[in-house]
Amino acid sequence: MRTILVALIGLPSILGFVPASQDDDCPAPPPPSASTAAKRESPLACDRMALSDAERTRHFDELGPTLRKLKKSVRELSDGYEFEFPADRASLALVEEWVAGERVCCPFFDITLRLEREGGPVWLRLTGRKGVKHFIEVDGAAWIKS
Amino acid sequence: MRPGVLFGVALAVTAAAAAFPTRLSAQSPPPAATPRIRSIRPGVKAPDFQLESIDGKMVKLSDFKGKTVLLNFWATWCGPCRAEMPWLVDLYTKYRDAGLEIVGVSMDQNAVHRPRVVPYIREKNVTYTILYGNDRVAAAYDGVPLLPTSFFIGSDGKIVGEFEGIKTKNDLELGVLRALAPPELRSGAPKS
Repeated sequence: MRTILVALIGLPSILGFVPASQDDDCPAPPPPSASTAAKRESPLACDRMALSDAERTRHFDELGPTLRKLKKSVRELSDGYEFEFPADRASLALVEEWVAGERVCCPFFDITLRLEREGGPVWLRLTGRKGVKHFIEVDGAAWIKS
Repeated sequence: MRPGVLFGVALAVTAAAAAFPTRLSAQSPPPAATPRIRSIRPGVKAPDFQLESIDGKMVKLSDFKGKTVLLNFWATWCGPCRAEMPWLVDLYTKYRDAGLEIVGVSMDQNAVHRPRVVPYIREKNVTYTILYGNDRVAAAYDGVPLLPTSFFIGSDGKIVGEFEGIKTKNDLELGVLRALAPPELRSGAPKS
């Protein structure tokens, strides 16, 4: 399947973890370098300083529940999960906003946002090192349920 | 001005200057981007504190003198904390009679999240002590920038080890067993 990889809201390092694109017109993103986050392994923990009270409330109490309701399907991956969202602009904006918060609060996730061409689905992929998939299954059971 | 008065003033200024950074650091958590000065390490006496429990009682860490304490900083909004909590409940059930106390310090400090603490711990059948934390206590434990963070405190009141982030249940149990062991028998302090 041909896909278009889109970097959104200043998440350039995410692209370092995206599988190479098969789009002929789009150069493959560079592989992760030794100087990027792959070198650092933050604990499976939340950074309690990353979000302000208002941002935390927005992230966990508004965006999270809203996206769970919007979720259309789930794919299990070897090292995590991938969630499908509607392709409309409003849904995409919510996913983008959630990604920006999650990235700073839970830096242990590899986050990939993939927008299929021709207005196709929006896919949010959450993966990571050993333990991350299990963590998603334990704490994100509501996300995984169809 | 007499030399004795000058000396007294100089002494007071010196003492105030020395005290100021201490007070500041005790009240202000370090920003996330600032490298932390780690004062909590194995062998150091665990800083005492007093916090309100979810039952409305004031509880001091020193109330557990002579017990082995697993001091767990967590929050209801923290996914890894939620994933870890059932393990803590199991470990408390298993090792309570051996002298283990688990003290959960909730860092749900804002008006939205704090009211969720009691319903959450009731839903999860948490039987160990839960206290409402604050930044001042977190600062005494190196700021606790990550949740969950657990400190293992021996029956002598000294830090045995620390875990930042969620490990495995087995790792947590090993940490508990090391902390429960007499100081002279401890080896390989847990450290994340």
